[in-house]
Amino acid sequence: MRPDLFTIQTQLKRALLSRTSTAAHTGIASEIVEGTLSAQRRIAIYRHNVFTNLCNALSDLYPVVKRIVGEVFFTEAAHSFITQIPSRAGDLNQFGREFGPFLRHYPHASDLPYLAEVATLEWQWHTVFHAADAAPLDLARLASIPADQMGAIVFALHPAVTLLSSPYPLLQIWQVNQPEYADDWQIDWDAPAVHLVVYRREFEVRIQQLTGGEHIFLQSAAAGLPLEQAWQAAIAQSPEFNLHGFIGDCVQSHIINNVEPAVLPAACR
Amino acid sequence: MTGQRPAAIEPMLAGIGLRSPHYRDMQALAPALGFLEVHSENFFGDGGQPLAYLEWFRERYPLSTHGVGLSLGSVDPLDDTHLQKLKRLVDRFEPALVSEHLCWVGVNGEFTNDLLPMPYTPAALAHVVAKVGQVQDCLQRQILVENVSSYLQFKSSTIPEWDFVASLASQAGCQILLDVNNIYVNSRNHQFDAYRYIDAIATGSVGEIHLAGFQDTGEILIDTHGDRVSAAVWALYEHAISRFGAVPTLIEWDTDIPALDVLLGEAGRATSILQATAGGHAA
Repeated sequence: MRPDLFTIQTQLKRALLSRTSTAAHTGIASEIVEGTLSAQRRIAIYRHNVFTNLCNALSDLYPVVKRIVGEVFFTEAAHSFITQIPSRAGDLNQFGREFGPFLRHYPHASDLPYLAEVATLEWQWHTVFHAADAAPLDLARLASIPADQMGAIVFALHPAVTLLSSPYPLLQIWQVNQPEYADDWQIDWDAPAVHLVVYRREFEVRIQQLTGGEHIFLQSAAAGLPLEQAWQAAIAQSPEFNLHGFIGDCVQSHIINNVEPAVLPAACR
Repeated sequence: MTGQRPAAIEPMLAGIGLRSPHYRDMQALAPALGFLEVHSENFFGDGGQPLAYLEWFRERYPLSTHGVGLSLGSVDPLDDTHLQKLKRLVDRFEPALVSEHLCWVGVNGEFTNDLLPMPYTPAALAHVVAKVGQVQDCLQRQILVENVSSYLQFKSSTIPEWDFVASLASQAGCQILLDVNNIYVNSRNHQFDAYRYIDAIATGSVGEIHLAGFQDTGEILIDTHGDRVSAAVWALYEHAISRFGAVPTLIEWDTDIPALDVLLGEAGRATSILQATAGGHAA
């Protein structure tokens, strides 16, 4: 009696997502026609294709991580990741989200504590690249709000905007590892924590450094807090925070793309 | 410009698989092609540049969306999120052809993201027929299902691959995307007569043909989509066109992607065969 479809698929999938053949894979091997090649060799051909394809997907997602650690290290880490956190969707673009968290606990990367954060930044780049389109802020709408109600409005961020903070000089690390970067490979490791916004302009993903106050202001807006509260939080963090200048910049770059009166607490809207 | 989109494919002109390294050259050249084909999943995002490019090309060419991740053959239920993203894409871009593969990609929620062969049994056939029915019901249209290349066969198979493919089309009411290169690769890997395969497929059931290059590793042929179409596959293609008539034909090239003119040269060769062999009579 031959095994059913469920058994065949379950056993072959298990064999293909393992790094090598083990005794546990003899069950599926005995179900494969041998001919000119052994069953284990046929499984190995598929396993090679699977790992190569998934590893290439990670290379495309994480070019900066790969540049930092080199091809050999990257491939080894990718292969560990593929077996520990298998792909969960037929759509390959969903694969690799957990590579940053994986690297944080990857023993061979313990000397590179910033590596996981670089990976997180690269995943954000990927999500921003594919995020929804949205029209820029209608300035007439902003102008129509009476001055005495301005403190209660809530700014909304464009769907293609993410925020990130890191204790490491992530933007510098990113910049010196771009293919077109030609200057000295110098990073100020003693630089203070960085706050970044990842956004899109003309379909191009951009990364910009923010002050602590600017970061809190955008975080507050994203959380649905009214302008007055967001402003106070920003000033508490960075007394020099320039409200009008920063809002103008964010509207210009489409980071802020909507405004609504805050009549209800965020949780109720 | 919606409404001015070219809808029907001109079957006497071959098409090419559209890949991102060629976007700019394609925009500059705008070559005459029967249609363009994209991998559906590459346009599952909510927005951004990929969809904007696809809009540009859709205004100028008939489109085929070719899925690689639906996993029609898996014992897992169809992934509704995946299916809804496919429906959103199909509704927006109104492709002339919508296709998937006769394979499984993952099981128990874990994916290899590779096109894995089925055991060719009556139970597996019934399973895939039901899955194709669910997809066609969801999309409210007929789809095409492609025969895959393979490097192994299951002992449990009782039906020749060509009969399985032909039965799937007749029982599920779908069309066949006949990959002539995959037939050739499998005929060499599993020692069968590729011409017999083609002759087992009913005329009128083939809605599209794929051509691509393979790699001969010495021990097996691997379907890399990374080379020119081989002489043996061109010969098999002529046989297919003489049997099926002028079927929309596509050149696929997905790894070691060459300059656009190499790809257009391959498409030109397919077009010559279509015009010489089918003699102006569409399928």
